Amino acid sequence: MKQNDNTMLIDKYITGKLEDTELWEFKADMEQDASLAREVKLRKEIYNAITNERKMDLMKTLKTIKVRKERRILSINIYSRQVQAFAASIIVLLVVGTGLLSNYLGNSHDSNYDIYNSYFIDEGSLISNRSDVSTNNSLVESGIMLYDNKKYAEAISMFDSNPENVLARLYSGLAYMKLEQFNKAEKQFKYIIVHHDNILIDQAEWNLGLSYLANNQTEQAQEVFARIASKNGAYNKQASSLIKELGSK
Amino acid sequence: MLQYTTQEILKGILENNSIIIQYIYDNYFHGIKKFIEKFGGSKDDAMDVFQDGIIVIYEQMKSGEIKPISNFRGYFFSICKFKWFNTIRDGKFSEFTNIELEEILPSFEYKKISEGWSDVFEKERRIKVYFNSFMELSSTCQMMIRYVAYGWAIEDIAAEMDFSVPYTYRKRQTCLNKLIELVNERLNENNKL
Repeated sequence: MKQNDNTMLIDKYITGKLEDTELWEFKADMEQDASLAREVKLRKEIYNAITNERKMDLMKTLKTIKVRKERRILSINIYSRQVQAFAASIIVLLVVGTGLLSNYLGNSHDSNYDIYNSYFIDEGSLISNRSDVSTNNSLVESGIMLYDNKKYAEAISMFDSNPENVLARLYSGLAYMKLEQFNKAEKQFKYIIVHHDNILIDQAEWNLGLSYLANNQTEQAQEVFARIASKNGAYNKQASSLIKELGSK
Repeated sequence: MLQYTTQEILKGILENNSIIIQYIYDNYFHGIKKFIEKFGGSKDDAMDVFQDGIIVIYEQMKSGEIKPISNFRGYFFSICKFKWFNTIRDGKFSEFTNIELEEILPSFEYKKISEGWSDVFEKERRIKVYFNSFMELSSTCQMMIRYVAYGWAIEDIAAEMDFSVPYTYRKRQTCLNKLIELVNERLNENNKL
């Protein structure tokens, strides 16, 4: 508890919430305690960095480009002549597995799935100011804890007990995406969109589009992304970029 | 193929226009990669340098410190070369430590404007560590720490996230500890290079 109190004081100092006496005492402590001063400096730098929204967005864009390029390299390897020749020789020799190989060599599902993978970023998807979201505290809390611990199926069962709670629906949809059960994820996101009295809609629409994409429902995905791109929402740039990528396939 | 002017590219970086950033990548990354590989680096190194170069331009644009540029390619390559020059001079690649800046950055114009880039790169190195560490946290932790950084009271965070106050109090501490641990790990790793 003492450590927690100390970090609370640091946060209050950094965000300018310390009162006169507390402020004076805290400054005196920093002068005497070099490690405290270092921690304050580090924490201040971190807070400045993560509250610089525009720069964070730029870094996310750069990170996404990196991920997408890496995935494209993997695809090139799969489609390379050597790999195809190797695959063909297996067909000739074994006369089996044609269906499986065609899945690797020509099916558009894989490329849709690659695109989905390169755009799906779970982290940060909920970082936005939300409208009021009422819920049963303990169950949603437990669900989020399970989600954070990657126990997605168990998290879903918690969220299911709050069917009218949009935050639980969003988390549930994301959990289904993690489990690659995209049909079920779609249902969760659609509920939020139909509910449309909250600003989780941006996230819901974006992830609905991605679920369609992963599920190889390309037309539906394109419709959703076109709608997002036409609005001034949180994902319109990504949607425009994704539409372009789908168009160039 | 669609072409953008230098001004459109600079504006695109400032506005985080993903189409423009993809354009920069598609058109200039290959050249940067070739340069970095020539001087002992890998493709991953090239990607890091590319990202750092974009961030430096963004910072210059934001602060209004950028000098008039007639040729984006030349300017961007100079930044990336300068960054890599600093990396190899720091001793990561011993075979290249004797290389002089003039050998890889021959343009007098860019040498002149490169004053101050080292400080920017050092600052950005730390910010990148903070960003990458933050992004490694769960979405709940990210949300919570962001509210903390904006100065929200525990009670307000609890209400916003639909958590109980004691849980928020504990969770906040766990998330902060994790973040600081990741940051320190990464800063130490970087210092060892």
